[in-house]
Amino acid sequence: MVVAFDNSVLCLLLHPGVDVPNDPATGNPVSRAQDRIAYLVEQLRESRSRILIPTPVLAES
Amino acid sequence: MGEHHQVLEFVIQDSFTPATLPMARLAEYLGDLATVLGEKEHVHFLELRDGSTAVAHVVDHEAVTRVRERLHAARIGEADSEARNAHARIQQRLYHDNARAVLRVAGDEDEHLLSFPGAIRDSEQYGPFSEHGQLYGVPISVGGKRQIVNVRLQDGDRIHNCEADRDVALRLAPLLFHHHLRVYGTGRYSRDSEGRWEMRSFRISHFDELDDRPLAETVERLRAVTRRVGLDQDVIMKLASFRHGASGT
Repeated sequence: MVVAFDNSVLCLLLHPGVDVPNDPATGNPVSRAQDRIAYLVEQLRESRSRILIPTPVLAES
Repeated sequence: MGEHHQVLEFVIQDSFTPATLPMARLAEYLGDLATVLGEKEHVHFLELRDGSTAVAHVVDHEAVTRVRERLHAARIGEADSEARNAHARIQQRLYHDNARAVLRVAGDEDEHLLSFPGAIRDSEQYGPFSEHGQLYGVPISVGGKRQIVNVRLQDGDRIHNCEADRDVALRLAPLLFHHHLRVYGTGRYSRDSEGRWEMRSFRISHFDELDDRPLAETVERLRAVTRRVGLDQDVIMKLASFRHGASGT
């Protein structure tokens, strides 16, 4: 499986301390964002997925 | 059958009606369709519907996601061999029946989970075309007596059959079985009658060895770099506002 990261995910992954973006559905910051990122990394590791980071996303992060 | 099951329809068009479809033929379609869908314990025949022949079947709630993932894999040509063979048999059968078919959520005529062009397939073959690209995998064989030798790369369950000149092959040979590579080169691609793209050959021009470090360790190393650089606390919101204006989220 190939997974593409957008800027928000890559920022949260590489800069764990940054402010969490708002969830469009609730208008509030996404709950347990770092837990979600950690779970995502673990799932990607287990499934041996390929991570695609578009160049503009890398530049912004 | 659960409350939140999903009803799918396999609709055979331009050929049979329920009154003219032989029972044995229906059984053949059903058998292969069940294989394409997978989750055989959770997919149930519902009824044969009028109009074009529509085979309605029910997917139990707990299997809906897995069936959708399996159909997605079939759509992009990454299904397992059992599903690929069943898909091909349906195609062949439709071709002989001068028909085509779609698999869709019952009542949703716009979204096709899978299309089976069947009898119209001959008009939709393209290529082969040449295109630069890259592949990933572990080299599992390098050899041949010509100036251009065969190279096979294993990427999970997939085997990429490539070729390279002897200079590149000599540099690949010591990496057999143990090194993950990203190879660059030119592929020849064609689109078959069922809408799938096939790579017919791939000439490797050069390659990179990939870092096998665990993902968590790589992430930690990257974080060490970003800690030194430092970023504004509200960087995500700022980037969103650059993109969408001050109201961006």
